[in-house]
Amino acid sequence: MSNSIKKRTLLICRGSGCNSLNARNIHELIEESIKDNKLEDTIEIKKTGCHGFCQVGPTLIIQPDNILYVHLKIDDINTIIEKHLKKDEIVEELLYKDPTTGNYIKNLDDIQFYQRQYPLITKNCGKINPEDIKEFLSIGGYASIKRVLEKFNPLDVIEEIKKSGLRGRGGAGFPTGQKWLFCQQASGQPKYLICNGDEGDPGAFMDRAILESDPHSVIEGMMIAAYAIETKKGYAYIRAEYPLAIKRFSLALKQAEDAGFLGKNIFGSGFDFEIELKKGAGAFVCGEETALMQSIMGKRGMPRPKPPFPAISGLWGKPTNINNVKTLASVPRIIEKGAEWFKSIGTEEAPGTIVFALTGKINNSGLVELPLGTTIGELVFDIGGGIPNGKKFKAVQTGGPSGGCIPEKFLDTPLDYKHLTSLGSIMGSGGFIVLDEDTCMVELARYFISFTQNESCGKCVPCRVGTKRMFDILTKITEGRAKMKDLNRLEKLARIVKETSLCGLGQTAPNPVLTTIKYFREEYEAHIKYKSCPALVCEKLIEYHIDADACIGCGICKKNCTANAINGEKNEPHQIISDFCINCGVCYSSCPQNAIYKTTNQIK
Amino acid sequence: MIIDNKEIEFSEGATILEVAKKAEIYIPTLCYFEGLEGYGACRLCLCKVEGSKKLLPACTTPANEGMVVTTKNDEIQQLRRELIKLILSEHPYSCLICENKEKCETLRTSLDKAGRIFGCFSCPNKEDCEIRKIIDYLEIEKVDYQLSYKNYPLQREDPFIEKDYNLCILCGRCVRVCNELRGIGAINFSDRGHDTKVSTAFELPYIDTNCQFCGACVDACPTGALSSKKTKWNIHYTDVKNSTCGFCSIGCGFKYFSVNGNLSDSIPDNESPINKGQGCLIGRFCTSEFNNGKSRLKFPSFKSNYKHIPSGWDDIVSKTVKKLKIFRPEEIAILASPNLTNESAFILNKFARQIIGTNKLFLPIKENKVNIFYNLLNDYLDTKNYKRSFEDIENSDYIILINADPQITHPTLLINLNKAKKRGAKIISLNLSKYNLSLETQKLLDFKLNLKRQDIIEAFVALNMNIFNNINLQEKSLENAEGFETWINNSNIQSKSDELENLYKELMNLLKQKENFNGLILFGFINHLSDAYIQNLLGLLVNLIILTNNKFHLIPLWNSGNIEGVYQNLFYNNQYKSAYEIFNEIENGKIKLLYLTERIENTGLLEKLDTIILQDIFPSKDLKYADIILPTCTFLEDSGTYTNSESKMLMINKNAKSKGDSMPDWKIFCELAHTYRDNNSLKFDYSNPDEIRHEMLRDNSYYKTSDKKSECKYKLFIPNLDENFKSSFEIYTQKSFNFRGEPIYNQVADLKNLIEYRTEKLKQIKKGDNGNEDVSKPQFKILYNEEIVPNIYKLIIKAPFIAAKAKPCNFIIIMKNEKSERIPLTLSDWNQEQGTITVYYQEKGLSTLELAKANEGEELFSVVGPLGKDVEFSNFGTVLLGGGCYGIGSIYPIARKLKELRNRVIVILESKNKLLFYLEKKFETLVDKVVYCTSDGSKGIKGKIETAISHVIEAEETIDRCYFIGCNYMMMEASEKTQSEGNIPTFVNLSTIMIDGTGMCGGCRVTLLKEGAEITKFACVDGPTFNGHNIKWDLLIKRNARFDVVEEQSYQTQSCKALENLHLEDENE
Repeated sequence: MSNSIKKRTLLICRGSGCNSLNARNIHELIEESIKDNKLEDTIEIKKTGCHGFCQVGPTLIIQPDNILYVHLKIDDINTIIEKHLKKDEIVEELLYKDPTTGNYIKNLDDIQFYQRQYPLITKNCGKINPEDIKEFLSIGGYASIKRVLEKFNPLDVIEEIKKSGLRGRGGAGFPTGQKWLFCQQASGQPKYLICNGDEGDPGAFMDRAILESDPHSVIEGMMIAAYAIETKKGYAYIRAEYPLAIKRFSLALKQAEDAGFLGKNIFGSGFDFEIELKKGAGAFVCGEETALMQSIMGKRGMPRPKPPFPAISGLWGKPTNINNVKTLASVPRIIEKGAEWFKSIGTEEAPGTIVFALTGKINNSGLVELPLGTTIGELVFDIGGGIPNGKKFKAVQTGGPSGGCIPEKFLDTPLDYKHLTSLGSIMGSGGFIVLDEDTCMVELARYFISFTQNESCGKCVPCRVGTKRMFDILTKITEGRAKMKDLNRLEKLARIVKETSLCGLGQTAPNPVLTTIKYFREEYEAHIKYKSCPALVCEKLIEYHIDADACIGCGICKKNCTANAINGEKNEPHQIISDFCINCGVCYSSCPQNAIYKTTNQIK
Repeated sequence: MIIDNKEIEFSEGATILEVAKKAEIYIPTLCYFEGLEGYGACRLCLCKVEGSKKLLPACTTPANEGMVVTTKNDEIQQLRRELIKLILSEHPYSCLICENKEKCETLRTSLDKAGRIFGCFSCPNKEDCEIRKIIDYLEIEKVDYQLSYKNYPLQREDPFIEKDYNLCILCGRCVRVCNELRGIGAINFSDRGHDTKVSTAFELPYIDTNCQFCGACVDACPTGALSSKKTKWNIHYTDVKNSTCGFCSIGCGFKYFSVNGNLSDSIPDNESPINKGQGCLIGRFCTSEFNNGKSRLKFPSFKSNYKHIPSGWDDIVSKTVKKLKIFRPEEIAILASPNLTNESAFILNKFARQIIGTNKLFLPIKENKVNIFYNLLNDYLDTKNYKRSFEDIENSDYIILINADPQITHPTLLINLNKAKKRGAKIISLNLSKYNLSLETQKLLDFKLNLKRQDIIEAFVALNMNIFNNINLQEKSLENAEGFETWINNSNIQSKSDELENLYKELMNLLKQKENFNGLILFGFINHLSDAYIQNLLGLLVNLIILTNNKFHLIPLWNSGNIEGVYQNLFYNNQYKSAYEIFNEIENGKIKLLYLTERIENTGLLEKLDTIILQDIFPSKDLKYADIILPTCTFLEDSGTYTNSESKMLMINKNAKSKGDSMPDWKIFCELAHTYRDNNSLKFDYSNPDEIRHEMLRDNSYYKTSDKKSECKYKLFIPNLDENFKSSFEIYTQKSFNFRGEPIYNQVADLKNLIEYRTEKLKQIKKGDNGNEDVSKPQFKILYNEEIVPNIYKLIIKAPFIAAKAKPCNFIIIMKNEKSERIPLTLSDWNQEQGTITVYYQEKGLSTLELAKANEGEELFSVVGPLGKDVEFSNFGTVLLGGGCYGIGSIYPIARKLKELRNRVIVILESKNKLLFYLEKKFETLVDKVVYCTSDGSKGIKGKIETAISHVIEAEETIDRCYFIGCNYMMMEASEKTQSEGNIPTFVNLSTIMIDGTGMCGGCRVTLLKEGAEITKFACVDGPTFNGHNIKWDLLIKRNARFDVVEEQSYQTQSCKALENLHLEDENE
């Protein structure tokens, strides 16, 4: 029997998401079992970065069969080995099940989540072992930089990047080639290059996934950029909360150094370049370029006004170029396949692809890469598989706390810089949070403002004080204490903060508020005029009741109630005494019969 | 560029705001401060710049060719209004928009002297408030926000400065002026977001930081948040005048405020080109108190039967003249105070040499070397054309401090040095080995050498040789180059250390490479060093100037205000007598009458004299011996001029009326001269110092422009090293700061306290050391570090300041080495008398392993603390404590405190096995009941903490409160137990991952549940003690496990994970 076993490769996802779901143990167990079953000769095990489909982790891909096994548990390993590896039988119950049709999908490429994607930056993610430079080299890694060093002079590189139309993937979308040119032409030595890996948006993990899954592409991108702007020193600023990314990136640095790709006289070209890894301590504002540079210099991370731009005066007052992880990871691909090829992807105004971290109320959450210009609807419904539990789609928040909410009527809007900005949101670095009908838009705005308000560095007035005042007003609204003039003031204040703040953090902080007011004004008005929260979220505006017909009198709610607000005899329907109820919601979530429901004031 | 349709010229590098200011276009701003870099925080200066989508802050945007700027239009003004309203929403504003504002201003002429400032009516900064100006400008009448008052406590514990951060608008001027300009860095921002505030490290009082009390922060503050303690309520001055501070030889410009002729405050003058609005502790905070000193001499008096009897000036003058006439001129000596004005010195000279006819004029010992300096300059350079200025400091590339500690003697110069350093200047110091430089001066240095007397000389001989051998002599016509060469060849001196050798090399390279090299020497004078020594040293420096073709500048740091002016008026082209010569003559009985204009405090000498005339401002030891006392004026009560260390003549204006009947020095001399010789042909009837100055500039040849340059000699100085340099010397300290011999601290209580507090602190730090150690850093010596039970170590450290302030639940952060991780540890015990603290720690990773390896006697790199919020304890009734692992040690101080407060205290000690218990005896003798529980039942109850809690609850009637310290898991279990047992109030000390300990990094984030809402706290600043029932334990435990992988890895490689880059470590393997 054993001689009939096919040569196979097992790709085990060891990204942070799957790791947190026990992927490490699963990985070890697979390795052991393969040894125990003496299958080492035919089965190769690869530890890879993120497969993207985090929703169904831990995942395992078996090649060349192109099979994706999902939601793996320790007990499943034996089944896979016995059935799939030994007997060539697909373990159907571990396959991905299409939520709409209910069918198990045998071929990875038939899964809708993957079907619509265009892996360019994430090309290698989940396919190679990020801890082994050889694998990266075997798929043509470091060939682009080699080519650059042999055939291009710095200005040629910049020209190529300019031609490709690549724009910064960190959020603002400034043309990358142009940015490089500024730095290249700035006077002052030495110059510095920074890779910004301080991804701080709640719910975003694109940079993390790339750093964990394909660190060498980022290093190669940094090398090309360094050559173009003529610097010898680069910093990779990665937040300390990404221990795995730091581990893999530093390993990759060491491997690249050992291989002679970093250091002196790279590829015999006379080009010297070294990269230093700097760990950020986790302040959100340090994702802002000038604050990030302060942080590298060992100072309090506070932004400063521009101009002068970093390209003129950055780290230690020297010309500095700073790019996002994804921007840098795109660079080797452009060099490899040419600007024209890159331009053919995406839209004319924004070529290339964008990586989204698809999260929130969505069936398929995970890491997604798409050509720019794909519509919101395609991302939510075709790739994301729609909203779970048959709920209604309400809106999507792009760009994290700096972005805005886009309602249902704009589902056909293409995802690119121009269109999102025109809707009052931003592309951001790729956060994409899907919201369903159970989300209160006022509370959501309040959440985001409380986040930015806490993460403000405290330097400029509009951001430090303005966001706090906005938060105060939003709190008033969610508690039903606001008047209509407060809403006007909120809108006015939001515009002022947006217009006058020093850095990107403050300038974008009002976006969630402004877009929710714009698209969901009636929800704000309901809170103010009728003290009503239509989504039944705002604690002060809702009441809990027990449906006497559904209640079985189990007493769980009564036991859990912290305010002693529930009455009722065992096995008899219980009641909530509204005077005592503090609206904490414990009964609601603990009721086994779903007999507790919420109400709010009617909108007249 | 064009601003508001006006075409304006601008200089490269100027910002829009600076250009507009020059063109007298007003742009409102609160965070801009002259002398500091633009900051862009208040946003009030936002302007429209053509071609830019966004409005740009004028204070940081550089002006560009062809730029078109609009500083003011409806839209911008509207935005500014909204911004100032936001600022006002957190700054008590009711007075600012009050309808009765104007009426109130006119009626309320005196301040409400309140501690807390809640409106302009009680604000000490009312007159200078920049917010008020902007509100008037923007015509704000209504603020749409309720005031959100921050309710910070007033900070009044420091001398000189009082802080009320409720008024702070976080413009950051104080922080920036302290860091950027003064280079001190005593304050910075802490916390973030809306909670950002200005604070010192760990919110210590200023006095416990390196704050120099220069007052720059107070003067930079646009609000009343920072104020001068003494003058907080003295804003109703009647007069204000500009003048020059005479306490040291910088000559800072000050504005002096007075109330009805009494000096009330002194604030550095922004317009002064010398100090540009900056001052020092003495000039800023001590002037008025010193000048108004209660014991000032007020009435002229004479001695009769061992008593001083006051009299009128006519009588005293005639008595004085009578005394003067008793002796022959050569029997009379006159001490000239270096604090006299130029005019008084000029008159003194005329009076002494031409009326009395004595040449025995001399200067106090502290300035005895002044003649050597000027003689050398005269003989070898060209005194009058030898220009030097403080601005040279800023433009220097290389600065050598010789026996100089500007922070002590000339504090404001530190700003210039700091600027030079920022520009990239190298600053080195050569000083006598016993001379400990102040920390702030040390901070500026790239390199410091403590040398023996002889070695300093030899260092400069070697430097002279190095340069001499490297220059082309033909280029220079030096008079005695050959003699110098011969001397060099015979002198046989070689530099003794590699350090010096490197220094020469570096300097030679700089001299060769840099076309317009600027070198500077700051020369400090130490009392009692021998003349020969100073002569040689200064001579070598003069050679350095000549040999480098004036590429070096030499600035003398005199100890007194007007030494240069006094010297030029009394001794230029006149005979110079040193104090020692005069003292000899007194000893020998050749001098019988001594006329003192400054005390000498030498009783031995005073007793030898027949007659003593004392012209002074404060009483001193000399008073007892004085036959006649002539009360005189300070530089604040007289007019005239002072000449500073850069040879600039500066105007002194009378700011206060003289005390009692006291008279200015020049007037006293004039009166005496008149009476001494009636109808004399010399003019002595001046009505004011201006007339004197007119004559002085005409008659004193020093002030005449001359063509002396042509006769300039330019010869090299040849030292004579055979001289014996042995002599004692006296070190200048903050205490020696004086005016006319009267130490400033004698008159200023706060200054005295400050100096004493800090001296004591230094002593304490020094104690327990072996003497000669550098005092720049407190030393934390390990006194005991042993493993007392498996994995638990007891550590005792010498840390007197922590011991003095420790409270239960406080913790400290230890760093073993400079590159170690910071380890937070709860304090277990402390001893104030011995200055020791005790902690128990568990070896639990790489950093604690590193600590465990440390031996007794070793020093820890740093220990910071006590940290953490204080916890209130009182008599609660019955209190249950629980400790596990390191927590057994940490719970001890709580038990002790609770027993002090007469609680019934029950302690549960938890461990896996009885072997792991420690401190049992101590607990058993201290508390009412100790319950042991072990997982294996080896001692006490078998089980974990929750089992033990049940036992206690069953046995006790009530439990009123609980405290638990141990691992997070143990504290979670215990808290859940006490919650289910009837919600007994429970507190725990969290052990979280901490990095900085200041609330910034967020590593110790804790999520609490309060009234159903999740709130985030930071254990390092909000804790470590929290209500155990509110903590989201699952999140906390998850968070703590986050770095497990990295920790594991670092443990394997045995290298620190926090500071090193992993790839670098791998390389080392």
